[in-house]
Amino acid sequence: MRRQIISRLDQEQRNWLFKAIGRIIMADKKVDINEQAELFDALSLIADEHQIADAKRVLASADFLAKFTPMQHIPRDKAWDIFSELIRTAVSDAELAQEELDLLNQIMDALGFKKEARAALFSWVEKMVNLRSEELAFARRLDLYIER
Amino acid sequence: MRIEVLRMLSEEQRGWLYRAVAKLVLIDERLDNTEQNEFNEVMQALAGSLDMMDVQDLMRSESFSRPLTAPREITPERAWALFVELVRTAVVDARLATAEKAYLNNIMDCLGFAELGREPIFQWIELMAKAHSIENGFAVRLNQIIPQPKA
Repeated sequence: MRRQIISRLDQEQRNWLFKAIGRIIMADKKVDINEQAELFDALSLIADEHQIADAKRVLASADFLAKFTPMQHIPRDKAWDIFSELIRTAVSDAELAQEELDLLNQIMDALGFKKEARAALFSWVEKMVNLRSEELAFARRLDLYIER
Repeated sequence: MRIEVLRMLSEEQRGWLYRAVAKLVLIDERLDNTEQNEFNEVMQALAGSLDMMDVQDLMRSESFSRPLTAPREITPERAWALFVELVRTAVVDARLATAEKAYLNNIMDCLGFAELGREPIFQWIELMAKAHSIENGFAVRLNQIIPQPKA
């Protein structure tokens, strides 16, 4: 998670991003170690005091699990910042399950993304998944790359 | 830089990464906004402020200008984490200048990377730069992706 992106968002946008990150992480029903770190960061960096104090209840609340409400009047650049941050979360486990794709589509609806732009966006997301997969593969074979 | 990475580093490793990122950003002759933000973030951490005098004092200091040496007793996993964070900064402007590539090679020497395994790593870095180029392309054509919000 990038501090400079978060610092540009207001609290409403941060709360929205926090919900989206939580939903993306839980979408495929597996939370790996990278995703746990993302969720922890999201909580400490963007959630409001109420959410931090009662994180468990917030994550299980009806509001958290409800469909995304459209972000009214959000400037394009902020919508893009939120989306690009979410993509980084979605690809952190180097997999993109169908549930995550469906959720990203819902999120794009709520952020007002055009339908016709989505194929190109998903093609880029696919590249990001592959690159993350390659990065994790290097990390699993460090004995080949770094001398102890 | 990613907060989850910064959090797992020791103070020494974090200081090393800040210095390495600052030096990397300074190599690039064309600073874009994201690189400028990265530079500000590390300068804030190293100099304690973004005041021009403080930043200049820091950049002239012996501790900043001496060549980077590996942090003490660094594990391969931690060396990789530091390297990946530097790669992410290097490709954020969607290109990898020759000087940046040479710098990353020096960093690999410093962190104990084997000579033999570098080619696939650099291929991956080039692809990372391309992916950033696509992302930056979307960001400059947002009117084609997101209609103007209604007033």
